[in-house]
Amino acid sequence: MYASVEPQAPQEQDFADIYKAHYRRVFNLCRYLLNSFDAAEDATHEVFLRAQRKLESYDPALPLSSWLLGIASNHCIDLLRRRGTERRLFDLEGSDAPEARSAGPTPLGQLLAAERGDDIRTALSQLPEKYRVPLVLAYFNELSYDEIARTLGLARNNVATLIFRGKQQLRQMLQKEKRSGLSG
Amino acid sequence: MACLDEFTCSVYADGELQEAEASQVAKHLRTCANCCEMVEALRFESRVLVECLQDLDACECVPAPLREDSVASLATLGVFTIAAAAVVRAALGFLGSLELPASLDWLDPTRTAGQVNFALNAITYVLFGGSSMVDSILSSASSIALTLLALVLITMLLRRSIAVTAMLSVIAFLAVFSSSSYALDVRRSNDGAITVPQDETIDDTLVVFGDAVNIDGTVNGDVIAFARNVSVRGTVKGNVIGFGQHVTVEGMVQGSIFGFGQTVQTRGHVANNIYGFGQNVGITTGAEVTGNAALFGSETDIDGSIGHDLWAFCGRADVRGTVLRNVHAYAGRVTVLAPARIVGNMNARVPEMDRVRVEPGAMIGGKTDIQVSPPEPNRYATFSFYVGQIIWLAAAFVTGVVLFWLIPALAHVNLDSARTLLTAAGIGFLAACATPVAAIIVCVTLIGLPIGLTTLALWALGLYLAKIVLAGFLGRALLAGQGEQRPAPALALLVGLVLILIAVNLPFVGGIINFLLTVLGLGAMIMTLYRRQNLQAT
Repeated sequence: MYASVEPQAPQEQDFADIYKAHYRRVFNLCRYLLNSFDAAEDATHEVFLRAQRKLESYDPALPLSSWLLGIASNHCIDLLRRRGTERRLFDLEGSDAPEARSAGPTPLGQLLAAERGDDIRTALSQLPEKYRVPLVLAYFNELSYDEIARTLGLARNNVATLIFRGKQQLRQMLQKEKRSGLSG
Repeated sequence: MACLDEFTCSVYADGELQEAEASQVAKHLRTCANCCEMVEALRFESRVLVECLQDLDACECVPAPLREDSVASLATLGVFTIAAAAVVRAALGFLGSLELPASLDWLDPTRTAGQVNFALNAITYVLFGGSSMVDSILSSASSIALTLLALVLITMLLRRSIAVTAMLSVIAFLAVFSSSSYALDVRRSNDGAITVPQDETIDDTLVVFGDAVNIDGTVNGDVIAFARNVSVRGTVKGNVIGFGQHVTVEGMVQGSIFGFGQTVQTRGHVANNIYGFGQNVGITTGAEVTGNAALFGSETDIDGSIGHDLWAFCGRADVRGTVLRNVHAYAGRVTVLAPARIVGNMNARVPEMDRVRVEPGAMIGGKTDIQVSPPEPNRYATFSFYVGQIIWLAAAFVTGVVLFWLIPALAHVNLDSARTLLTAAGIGFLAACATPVAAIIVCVTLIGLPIGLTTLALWALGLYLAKIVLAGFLGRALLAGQGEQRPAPALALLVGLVLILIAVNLPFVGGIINFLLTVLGLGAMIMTLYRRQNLQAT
């Protein structure tokens, strides 16, 4: 996805360019994760400050954007945890048992494709945090289930369930939206 | 093999099935068109999601200029607090160094006379003013404050159930607009004088507001007067409570006098006590007070006669009259002039021995006891100071542990951006200053009394907990800065408390640091609790 492999560790003076080039991507990630424009602005700023501080520890073998997005997702997840939802954030207990065995609604790729991006993003922002965060990590950061599990401190199975259920809810929301849109 | 469930397909489409399982699924897919279609659809869905999320045009965000530094670090917070404290303290020091004109001495908050004056004025203002005073003077202020409070409440609760919001709004508005009823005779005039003529008799308590108030007639109840000039020449069977620039009582008062003003003069007969607060407080020649006289002021002159004791808390006390019992003077200077007659003892507490002078013609029947108040000992040199601090630390630590156990969110208070810091300071300042005012105002109305008292209790509790909550944050920040990723909450709390204990006891700036930290902690606590409420509501 990000083919821009940096040939060497960037120098301090390049940092303003890095900031300009990657701001939007980092900001978007923060906004998806934190679900707030203002909080995302603050977080993005903090992410770049952190990046600037540990620029020497950057490994040029990695794409720079992945490195920045890694810092950003860690920072945002920290923020989410500190909001006092630590226990509940990715809690699978109780709420709803996995529906892995049920047939469930069929994938709505066609429907999704027909939707405007805005509707999908709006629906995503309405998802509970515990589904939204793994979905964003999986489809924005394109992390593997293992990486997500490590980032969130969860078992891999839980990650799979959360992503699966998150997508299901997303579909239901969009379907409902579509139906109300048609009838309205 | 039976057809695949959607979950397995989803994980397979994401390429995340374990190898063995994946190859089985692949084998099945070769033979099952249905499952194949499902996997394809899921893959397509994932692709759409990736494209949609990674669409950079999704937001119209413009990179803000990258600030070089953030207020995030603990050091900055410390420097910020200490600098602010130093600036405020320096400003106060500068103000203190300005000489007040002698006539305004009693306004000087740095002098004992001024402090006593302010404190007693405030207490009595609240105690005796009652509903009429608030109605007259503070009604507009209270309405504004409470309307704001109501608005904030409504905004906070808008996302809650409508019933709760409606109920709270009704209570708030009732508190704002309900006015307690009087069992009093209230007279007011905004510019002119109010006079109770000689031949008039008022049976109730009389409450008067005006530029000048003259009571020449008879009042069978109390007189509560607010005016520039309060003058009582008639007879008052109850007490006289006068607030004004000049309060003069020349007639007959069968109760006590509570006088607050720049000058408080008594020339008449008072059957009970006199409590005078002002710059010049005097009992002039010919005045007769049957009870005690307690005078608080910059200058007090006692020329009349006092039936019991005289208590003088003032800068200068001149006694020329008669005191049938003892004189207690806590003053900068005490002079007993001829033809004074003090039947009992004279106890004087003055800053230096030569501040007491007894003229040869004056008579003191009992003993004369002059005490020089010792200079304040350095508090850092006293044992009790350290015991007190350790007790505070222990109490705060236990309270903090219990608090964090009860409300874990408070253990995660976060002030790591300049914006949160300033927001917390603003909210904290508002809450610390406005809450007690609003609560006291609400207390005046009957319906508001429980609300007001509860609010006051919560406010006091909040002020105490504020520094503890902040200590939790400071401790965590400090330990995290030392490389500990997740410091133990109790250890962090202890470290933070010790840090705060040292900071608030610093000489020169400690008091102001204490205020700033309390305000900051209060703000952070309110923000965290509010956010937690919101999260639970959603």
